[in-house]
Amino acid sequence: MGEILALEFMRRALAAGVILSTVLATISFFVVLRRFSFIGVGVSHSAFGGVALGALLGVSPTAVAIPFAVGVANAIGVVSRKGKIGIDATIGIFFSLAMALGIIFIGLSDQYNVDLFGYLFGSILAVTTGDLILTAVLGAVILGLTLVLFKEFLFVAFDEEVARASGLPVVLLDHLLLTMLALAVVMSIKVIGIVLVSALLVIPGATALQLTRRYGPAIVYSIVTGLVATVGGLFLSYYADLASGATIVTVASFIFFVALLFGRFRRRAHAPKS
Amino acid sequence: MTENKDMPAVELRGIWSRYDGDWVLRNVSLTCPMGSIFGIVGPNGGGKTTLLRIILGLMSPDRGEVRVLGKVPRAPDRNHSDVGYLPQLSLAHRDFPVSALDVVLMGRYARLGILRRPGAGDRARALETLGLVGMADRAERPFGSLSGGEQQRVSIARALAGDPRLLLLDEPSTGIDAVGQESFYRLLADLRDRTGLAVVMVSHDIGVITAHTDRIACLNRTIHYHGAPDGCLNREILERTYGAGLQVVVHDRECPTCEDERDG
Ligand SMILES: Nc1ncnc2c1ncn2[C@@H]1O[C@H](COP(=O)(O)OP(=O)(O)O)[C@@H](O)[C@H]1O
Ligand SMILES: [Mg+2]
Repeated sequence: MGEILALEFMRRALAAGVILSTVLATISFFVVLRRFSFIGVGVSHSAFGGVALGALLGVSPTAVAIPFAVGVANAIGVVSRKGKIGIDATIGIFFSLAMALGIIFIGLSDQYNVDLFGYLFGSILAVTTGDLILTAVLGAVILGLTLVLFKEFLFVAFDEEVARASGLPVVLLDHLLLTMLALAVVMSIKVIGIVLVSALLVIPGATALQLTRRYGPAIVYSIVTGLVATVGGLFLSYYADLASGATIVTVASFIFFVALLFGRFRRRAHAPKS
Repeated sequence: MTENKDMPAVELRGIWSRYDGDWVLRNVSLTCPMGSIFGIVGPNGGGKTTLLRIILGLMSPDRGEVRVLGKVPRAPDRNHSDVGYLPQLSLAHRDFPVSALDVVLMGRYARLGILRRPGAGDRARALETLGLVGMADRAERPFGSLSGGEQQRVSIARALAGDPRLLLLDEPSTGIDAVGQESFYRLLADLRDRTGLAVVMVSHDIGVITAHTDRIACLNRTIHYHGAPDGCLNREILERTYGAGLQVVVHDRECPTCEDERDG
């Protein structure tokens, strides 16, 4: 334990992991309730296009991935609201286009100094001090917004029509949530990876809903799930020398299935005997 | 605030509206005064929900004029705290982590504004409205675990919790048993008399509407009748609204057979 924490890169990875799992888990709660889970998958994969473009232009992949992911998230929001095309089809198109562009950019860039595997599946070695600062700032902004707009996000997820009728700017709130989702995805790419980050937008929230039907405890369970999975996964990643995103998501899924069983059990115990 | 005392709660003039294809509303005009209960009857697909969405400002008509409490409604808009809305029943996601009380509190949000959280006063008001619909003892129950009729009562409480001056109800009696309906309509009449509340209520059930409203309109894409409740109960108007081949079963205001059914 002490040995691990003596390592500079491991301390940075853990600090980033604690922040981003808290942020992802908080957003996850609303993503699951608003049924945005599949948007998370689309946005994270789209970020690959941004990362690759950054590599091609020789600038920070994260710096390009941020506008890329935010743009795609909001575009999905607009198209799905217009409702002419199903949202699943929309996301399918955006996400394969962005992946395809990413492959083309990588091909054009002709440079192999980008740690592609790290971007795709996460790497504990990758987190720089700059990344950590960015994670902390974005994380604070996202958590702050969630705290301030908690009751509004909850109302919109619960009953969009009545929320609109009672004067909430539902479209604006949705785009804000999508933007926060995109930022959370990008800040998590280094540690968790493009392919796997969407899992952390779904699993913590889904796990919490197995365990409680009150929003206060649900948020807490969601964050605990995210934290345990991330910290546990990072240790596992270090000792077993595996990609950090893969170990984190495996631990998170394990927690989800335990919660699922526990939830079933509890519901059966509470059900009236017949 | 200066306000014309005779200002109608809702005034529609020559409304035309459609989604993609045919006109759903054709030249609809109606007036609902303050302090009265206005019923709109018509068959499924007749445009009742669309009409309510126009009154709420959730959509704008293609043609015509809308005035709600003296203003052109447009969501999102802050003055919506004066309007309470019960949408057509749609069952909630079973696992949604809110209690019945949390749902009713949502009815206070428009009054609270964005940055403020519900306080003790809001909780007291929410509990009080839950009591009005006979759900006070289920305040802490998860909303998703309630029956359809119980969810409907909680949603009615939410519509009332913001102390609206105008209440819009889309098929309010769905899922509620006869006894519950009776006390619900008594509650509406009481609020109308005490607070001058205006109610616009939509239903496909003529019996329910005629027995509990001050004025009604028969709507099937266009208005076939507008006036006193019993006036619509003639065969010609009903046939124009619902189409020919309709079996007319008229409930009286006092309905002995209903009482029997309820007890039996
Ligand atoms: N969002 C929509 N898009 C397209 N058509 C719609 C939409 N909502 C309602 N309609 C159509 O408008 C007509 C009236 O619907 P509605 O107002 O819901 O009737 P009611 O509430 O009286 O049953 C129906 O034929 C319905 O198919
Ligand atoms: Mg309807």
